[in-house]
Amino acid sequence: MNGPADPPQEGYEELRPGGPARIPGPRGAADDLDPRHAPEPLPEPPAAPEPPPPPRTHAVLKSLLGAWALAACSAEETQAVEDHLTECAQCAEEALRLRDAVGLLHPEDSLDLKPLLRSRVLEDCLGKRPARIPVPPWANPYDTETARLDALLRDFGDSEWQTPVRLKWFEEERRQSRRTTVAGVIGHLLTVDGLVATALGLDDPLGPEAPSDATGRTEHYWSSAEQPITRQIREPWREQGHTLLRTVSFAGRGVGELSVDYGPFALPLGDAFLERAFECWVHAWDIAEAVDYPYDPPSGPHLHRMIDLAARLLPSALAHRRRAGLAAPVRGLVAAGAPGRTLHLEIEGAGGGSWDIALDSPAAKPSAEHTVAQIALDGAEFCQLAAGHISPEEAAVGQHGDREAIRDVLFAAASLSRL
Amino acid sequence: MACPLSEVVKEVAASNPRTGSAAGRVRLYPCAASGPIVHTPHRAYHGERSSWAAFPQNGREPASGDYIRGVDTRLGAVMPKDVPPRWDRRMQQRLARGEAAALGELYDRFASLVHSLAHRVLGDETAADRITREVFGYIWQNPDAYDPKQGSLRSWVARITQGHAVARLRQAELGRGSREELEQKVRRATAAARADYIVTSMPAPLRAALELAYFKRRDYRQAAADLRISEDEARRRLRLGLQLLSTANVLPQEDSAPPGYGPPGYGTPR
Repeated sequence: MNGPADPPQEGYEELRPGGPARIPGPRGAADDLDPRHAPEPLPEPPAAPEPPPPPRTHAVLKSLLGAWALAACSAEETQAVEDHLTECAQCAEEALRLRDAVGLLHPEDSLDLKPLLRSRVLEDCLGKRPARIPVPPWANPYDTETARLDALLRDFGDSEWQTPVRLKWFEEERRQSRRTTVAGVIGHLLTVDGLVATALGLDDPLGPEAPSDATGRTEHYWSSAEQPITRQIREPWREQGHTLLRTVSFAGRGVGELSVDYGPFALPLGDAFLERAFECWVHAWDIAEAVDYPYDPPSGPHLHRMIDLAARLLPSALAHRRRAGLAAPVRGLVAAGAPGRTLHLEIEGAGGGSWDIALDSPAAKPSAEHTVAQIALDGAEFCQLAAGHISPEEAAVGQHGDREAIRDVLFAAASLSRL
Repeated sequence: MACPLSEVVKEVAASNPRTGSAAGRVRLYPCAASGPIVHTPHRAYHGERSSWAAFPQNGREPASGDYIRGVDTRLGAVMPKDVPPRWDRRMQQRLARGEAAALGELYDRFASLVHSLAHRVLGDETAADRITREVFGYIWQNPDAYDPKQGSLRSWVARITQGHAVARLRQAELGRGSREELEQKVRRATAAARADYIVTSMPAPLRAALELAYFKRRDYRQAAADLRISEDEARRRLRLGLQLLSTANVLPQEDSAPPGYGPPGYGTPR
């Protein structure tokens, strides 16, 4: 093996134009009129019989067979190979074989695997042979969403991994955004998924000294990771996802109740998996938008679970905002477990349904009799709102009733988002 | 197959195999999974960069005139193995144990291989979807049918896919032409699927060279410059790449299911 700068080998590269041994073929004299073709006078008149070029060895000609079959060598080399093939059976046989092989090359089909196929195949399999160690149902959306995002990433080239992505969320009463890359988003998902991993006793992908709140972890990762973050991030992210699913499959029944600490709040493991599935989808959406690729919302049943989680989190988000002076004060004290003022949330479309949101306190019981307002919005719109992609003022909401309550709930929904 | 070859090219270009440290570990990205097409675990290529350079063709001629055999012995040394056989065995155990999470991982790793091979044989997406369901259903119900000693899980999955897809092709084509025409169709589809499998399993540097010469119509000197390798090496890669590919054309014994997914001469009668 020799590098490009190495001297030519096997006596054949010396035959390149400009080399001393190069004898031009039987060319017309016109060539001589062109100074580029006659930089120096030839020692002999062109008509004189020329000594043949030193014959290439069998080994050299053989090494050319691949290039020959692909029509990737010079005309002169092609001729030399073809002359050789008439007298060397071994090379002739190989040449034929390689040329046939070229016929098997074809442009790639750009055929996307339909994301739905995965769920169908797995369902099919599990119908034929039920799993002895199933994935807990609350982890299914995470399984599906991570696989979907991974499939989107599969065909990304280096440049797509560096495509700028704007992450959006709602904080301090307005939309915030942050610029990163596709690879940076996957790093973000990896680090926050790491909170779930550590709750399960698995290794923290950021190491033992990493911050313990979701946002701090991402900032820590983005500032400490080797820049730029590349496609190499895909594998650790995927592997951790697989490990999480595997670990919760083997954990006992009660594992869904295990608390996952996000820093400012905590969620039971089952909800944390849903939250991670939701964030995975939202960021997959961000990525797809950045590379201008279509991306569907999750399946109806999975979307329903995600919306349900958001609806369940609304009363405490509302209480949090009230304590911070961002929401209207309570209209009257309600004893824990007693029915209180209620907002009826109607979500339309796949994954939709209806939820009654307790307005007075997370401990109050929502009640149909105490409903003071109703809102209706599309499932995707609600998710956009809860993801902080649209502000509460711009959400397309059908509303009826107490406007203050409606405003508070919409802002509470947006406040569920974070970096 | 949805792996853009151009990406492979970029990756190889970024790491000179003779000097770069990444060379031996060049992954067949973005097709994360790959395995040897040869059933020779003991000859497994372990991704050291010396293996690439030490490839026996370099300066040494095969001893006999039987070129196919000469090539085959080298295939085992050259086909990379970025999934350790341990992963294969472990996956088998997990499937046998009935772990649903393992089934998901299996799908994530092999679905695009299965689907694209089925599509290559049948030329129809709905049919390829159906074969994908059948193949994973079969594996999930029969994980013990895999014998790690016979080769990688990836090659086993490819073989099962081909078996199912060819059976479907026969069924679909039955009565549409003469028996001879049918057999020819089957042979063509089988070779095409095998070729696809070989291309996706072949070391990235070989793929890169083929891609430049065939799709980009670069001659070997230009390819050498693009890849920052010697012209000698460029010729070598083109030839070797085609040699690997040509094993797809070697017909397995008539209907000897499962058709060999290694080159002939390795346990498969020729």
